[in-house]
Amino acid sequence: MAEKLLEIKDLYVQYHTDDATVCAVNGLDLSINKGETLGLVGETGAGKTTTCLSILKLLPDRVGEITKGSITYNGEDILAASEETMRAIRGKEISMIFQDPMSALNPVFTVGDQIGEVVKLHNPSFSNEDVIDRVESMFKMVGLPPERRTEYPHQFSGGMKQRIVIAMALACEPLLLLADEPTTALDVTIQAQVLRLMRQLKEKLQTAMILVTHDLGVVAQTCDKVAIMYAGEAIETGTVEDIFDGEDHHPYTVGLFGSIPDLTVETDRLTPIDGLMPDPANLPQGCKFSPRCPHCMDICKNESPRAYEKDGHIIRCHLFDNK
Amino acid sequence: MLKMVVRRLLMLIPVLLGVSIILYSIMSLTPGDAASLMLGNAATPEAVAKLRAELGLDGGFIERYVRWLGGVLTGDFGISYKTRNPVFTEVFARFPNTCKLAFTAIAISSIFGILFGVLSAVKQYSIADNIVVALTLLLSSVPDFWLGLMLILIVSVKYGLLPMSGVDHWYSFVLPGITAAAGYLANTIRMTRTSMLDVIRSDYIRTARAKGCPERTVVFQHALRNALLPVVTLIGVNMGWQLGGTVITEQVYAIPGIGTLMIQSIRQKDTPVVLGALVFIALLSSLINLATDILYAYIDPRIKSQYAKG
Repeated sequence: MAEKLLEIKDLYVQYHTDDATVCAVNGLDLSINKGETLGLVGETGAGKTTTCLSILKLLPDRVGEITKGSITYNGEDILAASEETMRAIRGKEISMIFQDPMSALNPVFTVGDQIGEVVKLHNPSFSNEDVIDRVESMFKMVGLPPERRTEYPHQFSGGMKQRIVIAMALACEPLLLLADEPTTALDVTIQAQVLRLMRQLKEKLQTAMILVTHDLGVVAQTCDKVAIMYAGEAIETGTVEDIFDGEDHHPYTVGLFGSIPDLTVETDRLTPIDGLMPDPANLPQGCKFSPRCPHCMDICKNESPRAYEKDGHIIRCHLFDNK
Repeated sequence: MLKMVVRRLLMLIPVLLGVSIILYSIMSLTPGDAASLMLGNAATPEAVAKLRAELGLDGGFIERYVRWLGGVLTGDFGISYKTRNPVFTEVFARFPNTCKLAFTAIAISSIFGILFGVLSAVKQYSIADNIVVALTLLLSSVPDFWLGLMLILIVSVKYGLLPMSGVDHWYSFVLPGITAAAGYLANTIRMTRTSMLDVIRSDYIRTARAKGCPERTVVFQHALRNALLPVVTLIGVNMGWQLGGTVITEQVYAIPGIGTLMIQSIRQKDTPVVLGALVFIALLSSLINLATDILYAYIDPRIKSQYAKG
């Protein structure tokens, strides 16, 4: 049995705005082992990014709040950890690749300095030459010419910026990498390059990774385990095989796969899931997917479903109550 | 970069020429004749005509302007009608006072403005933020003359801590500096706060935090440098205003500066002094603008590469 690196239990996160309280994450359970890749899949607004930010305790000040649950990293309770402990963890043990490489880099510092900063922060004994050495080796690792480290973010293309962001995230060889839609902002060719790069780096550094995406193709290529998120809950989790080839599925997962067009069948229209993601400020009673679910029963409207488990494949749906 | 500076310096020529034409026209259009003013009511027409010729006031408008411009280009701004001293001497006798006052005021408003602005942005909606916001409202609404008088009344008269007027010591400039700074301080705080609030929510600040940067580094290195651009512009503009002379502050504290000189000269129709002082101020303002633009390049590399492109 592999060693558990991160465990999230019954996590609730709320955003308090002037108008309403937004329930972004509602009772999320997740776990990831060392060296493993977990795909976090779901529609926009399902709470994927919020989950990542919660792990680093970087939710927006005064607005975002973890109201319930626990996050345990390497045996340590993240939610009880001091700001100082968190600073030591951020960037060194857990690092994050943000969604938009265009805005994730500070425009007024050279990219080399920005990568160097994280190296220097977590390796105070490094001399300036050591830092530069590390920065240059990171540049080579992500396939950028090291001499460009003295240039500024605006002098790089989008794909190159994403590589820089990746280099920054991996500069201290973290145990856990939170990749928040690392390829969404990139075009398809660059996407493939970046994914290949991340896979290679993961093998080389034995880094565990949470890959946030809404692209099931990416998940199939890169992940060991998958968690499908809906309205702040993991409604189905399992191995890639469970999710892609398993027999039983949550109706939402079925809908999600159904909405991918099949190349071999000629159709005029896509088959989307009817309806919209519920307003997180005003969630439905019972199962949150019930208003859109084709198999909705009376019980679904009143009671939240329990988790049904079979060999690690977890589904939260009343359809499986009898099994 | 050098190319940009040279081009901007060359652009000063048409700007200053334009300024001088406008100023010269306005001064010529104002009613009243310097020669008769100087000689008084009892003067004979012959004496007035003689003085007019002496002062270069005879001839048509264009002729006079060209004559004046020729003098200026050779460094001769003419002679004050009132004191009979060269204009150059008159302006430069007062300029150091205005300069000291301006730098004190700008230093006060910039240092405290940026400090309070950052504090209030970082602690948005806290008590400190509310106090700072209320303070800016107060500072921008208090009239200069009232603030100046109150400071004199309390600090100088009641407690005798600082001199109430004059330019004899460095600390003579503290109260005038505060008075002149008040409005600019409010502007600077507000601009810094807005700009910081914008920047502090950006993705790259979150990146810096995710790297494990201590909050101080995040605020003062990652955020402030990005937030500084509009603030630098504002400080540059403020500086131009200040060097142009703060008439009210100078009057309240009896500081013989450019502002006072200009008001006096306009009243006495001492045209050469007015023109000399204004052209000098125009030159200074343009140079400060240029300095601001150069400073931009050092703050933001994107602007630097724009300059480099041409």
